This record gives sequence, C-alpha cells and structure tokens, in this order.
Amino acid sequence: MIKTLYFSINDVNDPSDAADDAVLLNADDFIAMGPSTTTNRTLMYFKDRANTGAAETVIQLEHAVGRSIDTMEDICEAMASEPKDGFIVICDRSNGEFASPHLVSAVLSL
Amino acid sequence: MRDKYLYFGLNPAGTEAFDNHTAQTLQLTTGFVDPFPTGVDYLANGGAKVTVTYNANHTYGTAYTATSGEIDITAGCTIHGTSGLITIATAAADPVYGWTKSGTGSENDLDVTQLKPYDLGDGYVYNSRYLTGVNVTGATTTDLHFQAKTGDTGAATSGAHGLDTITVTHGSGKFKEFAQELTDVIADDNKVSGMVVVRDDMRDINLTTLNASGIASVAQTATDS
Repeated sequence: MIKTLYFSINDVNDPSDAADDAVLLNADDFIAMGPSTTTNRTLMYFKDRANTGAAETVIQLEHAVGRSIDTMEDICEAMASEPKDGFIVICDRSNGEFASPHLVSAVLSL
Repeated sequence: MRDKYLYFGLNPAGTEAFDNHTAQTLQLTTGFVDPFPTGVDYLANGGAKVTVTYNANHTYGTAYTATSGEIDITAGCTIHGTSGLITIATAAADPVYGWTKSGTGSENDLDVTQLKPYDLGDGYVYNSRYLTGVNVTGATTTDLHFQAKTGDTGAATSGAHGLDTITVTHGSGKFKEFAQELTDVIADDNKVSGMVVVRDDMRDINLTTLNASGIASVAQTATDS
C-alpha cells in the first residue's frame, strides 16, 4: 500500500490556497526525525521531494513543551497505521486535525 | 514487510545537583543541558523530575509519605518560561505537593534529572527502510548505517547518498545476537508496530527486556546530515 503524509500550516479555517501552504509526502520517503533545539520542536526529515542534490525536505513540527518523544511515538503509530485510502494526516492546522494530541503546528521547508 | 521506526536515544539524561542548598528555588544552568529547557509546562509535561534527599527537618506535603531515600517533589515545582528557574512551593503554600527546606543548608540536597529529550541530537527515529547495513566494528561495537537524514545529496546525478552511522555498544562477541534481535523487530509485522526503542541512553531502555546481546549504550558516530 502506498501511504501519504499530509501537512498544512495555515490557521484554522484558512484554506491552503498559496504556494507551500500544504504538502503531501510519500511515507516511504520518511527517513528520520528527532527533537530540535528548543523544547517544543521536532524535525521530520524526508528524501527531497524535488530530488535535487544537497537539498532536503524537512518538516518542523511544533508541539507542547517537552513532548518530542511522545509526539514521535504518536506519529510512528500513525505512519504504521493502514488507512484504506492511505491518506495519513500528521498535522493539518487548518482543520485542527493532528496525528498527536501534543501537536500544534508545522513549518514546511520544501 | 512494513516499515519500522527505530529510536536511538543518543544523549544521557542531563542532571544538575543542588547540594547543601539554601534556597527554595533551583536555577538550572547549561550544566544541566545546553541550552537549558524553556517553557512553563516543561516539568508538568514530564520533561524532568526534581528530587530531594529525605531529611527529618524538611516539611513535606501530604502526598509524600516516604521517610527515607530520594523523594520526587516535581508535582510541587514550577519552572519559569525562559530563565530555567524552578520554584518549589512550600508545604504551607501547597499542603499536598509542597516541600519546605530545612533552615540548615547542609540538610538540603536536591537533584534535577532530565526525563525526555528536547535538544537537537538527543535522539533520532530512523525508518528501517533506510537501514543500509549493520557491521561489527569491534568485540563490543556494531555500526548501523542509515541513509543520511538529508537523504539525496548527489542523488540527482549519481544515485549516491550520505550516511548516518549509529554505533551500538553491546556485550563482547554479541554481534550475532544483536543482529538477530534487530532483525526480529524489523521483520515482525504481527507484534511490532510504531516506534521501537533500540537503545535509549536517557531512559536506559534496550531493544528487548532480556537484552541477550547486552546492549549498553548508543552514539551517533558519523553523519552526513
């Protein structure tokens, strides 16, 4: 099954209608993740969506303070799930849908 | 076979000791972790614990019933949003979770111990799909090579990519046992799902409870990310 991971960055009720407001990534391209330099951020690293050398696709997730390991556990559970349509929402701020109750928002580096 | 998500807790827990302490507050420094934690919810969310060595001249809230050893008083503590200053409620202010120091400083020994990772490099989850090889590097060390987090350096032209290397220290001559334990996790779609801890130095957790390979620690020894 091909699974995809969905991320959006806009505020509630603000649709994704501008470049890089949202992204859908192939779950197979997820390489790694780990805490960032502050207590409320975790980085997800993917193979670059554009396949350009020396570039990378990184999603910066913002979550409750100190909850990086909990958020990563929840995201791993979500990625391991097998929804019929393969569509897995990790962070959809626009619609208030998150793979972890600790998640707040995301920043996309595409 | 489904992907498995392998967690490596690379850094040990940060600790800071406040021995012979005369204040009801604890000022974390970069000696705890650099940078020290921020956010008023850090303690409430389980980021660290505050313990005190029991002394009969302390005053404890009713939640604390032990009369010896280390007492976890985190529930009575709050942390400033940015300064790293931990304030402990007195037993008078919080009769349940408060704690009041002894008037004699030498009777107040406290510790702050990190419980969860937050700093860059504290730990990583790697997708088992990108595990490219596992090789023994010594009697007690084994390297796990993953495609680098930055992934595709050079991929557009050569197909080459960088590597992140995780080194696991285990019992002497236990490479095969470790390799079998790891493969058992990666290949088991029935019992294994989500995030799997291979080794967490911060929480002292190993791949299996039996730990037949004697896993003792882990480090990231090379990275192209």
